[in-house]
Amino acid sequence: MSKSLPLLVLSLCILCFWACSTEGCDEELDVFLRSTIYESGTGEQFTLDSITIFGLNRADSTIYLMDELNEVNLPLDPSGISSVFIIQSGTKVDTLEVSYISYPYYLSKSCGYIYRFEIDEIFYTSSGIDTILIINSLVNNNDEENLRTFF
Amino acid sequence: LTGLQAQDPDTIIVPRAFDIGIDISGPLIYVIDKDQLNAEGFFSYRLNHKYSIILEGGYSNFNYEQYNYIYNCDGYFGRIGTDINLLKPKNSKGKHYTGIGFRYGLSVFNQETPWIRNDGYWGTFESAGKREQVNAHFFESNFGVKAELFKNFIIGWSLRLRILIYSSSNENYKPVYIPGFGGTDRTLQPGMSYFLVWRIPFKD
Repeated sequence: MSKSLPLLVLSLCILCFWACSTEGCDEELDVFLRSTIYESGTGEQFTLDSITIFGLNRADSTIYLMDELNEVNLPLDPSGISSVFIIQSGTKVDTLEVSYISYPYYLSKSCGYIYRFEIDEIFYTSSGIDTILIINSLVNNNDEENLRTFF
Repeated sequence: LTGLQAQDPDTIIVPRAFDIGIDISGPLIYVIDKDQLNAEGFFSYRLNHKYSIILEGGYSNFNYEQYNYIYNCDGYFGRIGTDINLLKPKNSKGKHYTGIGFRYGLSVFNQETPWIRNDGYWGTFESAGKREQVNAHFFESNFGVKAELFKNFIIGWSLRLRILIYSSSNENYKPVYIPGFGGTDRTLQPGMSYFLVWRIPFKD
């Protein structure tokens, strides 16, 4: 018994440290619809000049107001079945509507839940936008590309 | 010698015995944290000086709340397995135990997430997850010590490591806590028990 006492004490210390250590949330909580931007003529990824993006009826709160942009991350509305975005590039203005199913998804005790989205359909105008392809319909808290937008 | 028959100086026969025990760590934690109640006990049948068959069971009620969700669960659990005494008979004297154990566990419980909050670009959205019944299966290994304090009255503790092998929960509403298992954030879930045990020796 005396030989195993140090082992017991060590085991207890490790267990206490393991069980009692506080943990913060170290996972990504933001969920965005991610779209890369391509040039329709060349099929190459490129950078848009002067772009403004905001949600429908949310002109007071822009998502992007930038000189250059080659990838957009759009927040979807978990309370609805679709989100509409106004995309202004130079003088051309387009509307993008994304319809989806949203649902809570448990991450961990310290992080709680995020909302995931399954893209159902997309609708868009073609003032500046040429084509939008759905690459991955699951909108998650990772860096995966969901849409590929050709201007 | 209580519970021990010495036939000759080199022979120790440890009689079979029936143990009934309760884990007092759950009620003690409940005194400090009213959101976590765990009440459990066990029956143990000692086959010989080395092996015992264990049946554990209990009830848990767990409530958790933080800034973006509330989680509640309550339910029953059972574990069945064996304890292996590593002490030699001359050291254990039929009274003491230092050994390892293995268990299979089953937990049947109800869980719900009555409030989930999301803050984002589109404003604040609140929702809830339905109450659902879940069953979970797990394995456990443990290391423990028990010693006879008075005649047929034993105290002891054990350190436990559990691994979840299956949960029937909805993929999107995985359990935060599983009765009889503990939290689910770690692959190996540690635990500790502190026992009070009453021993009923058999007259062989």
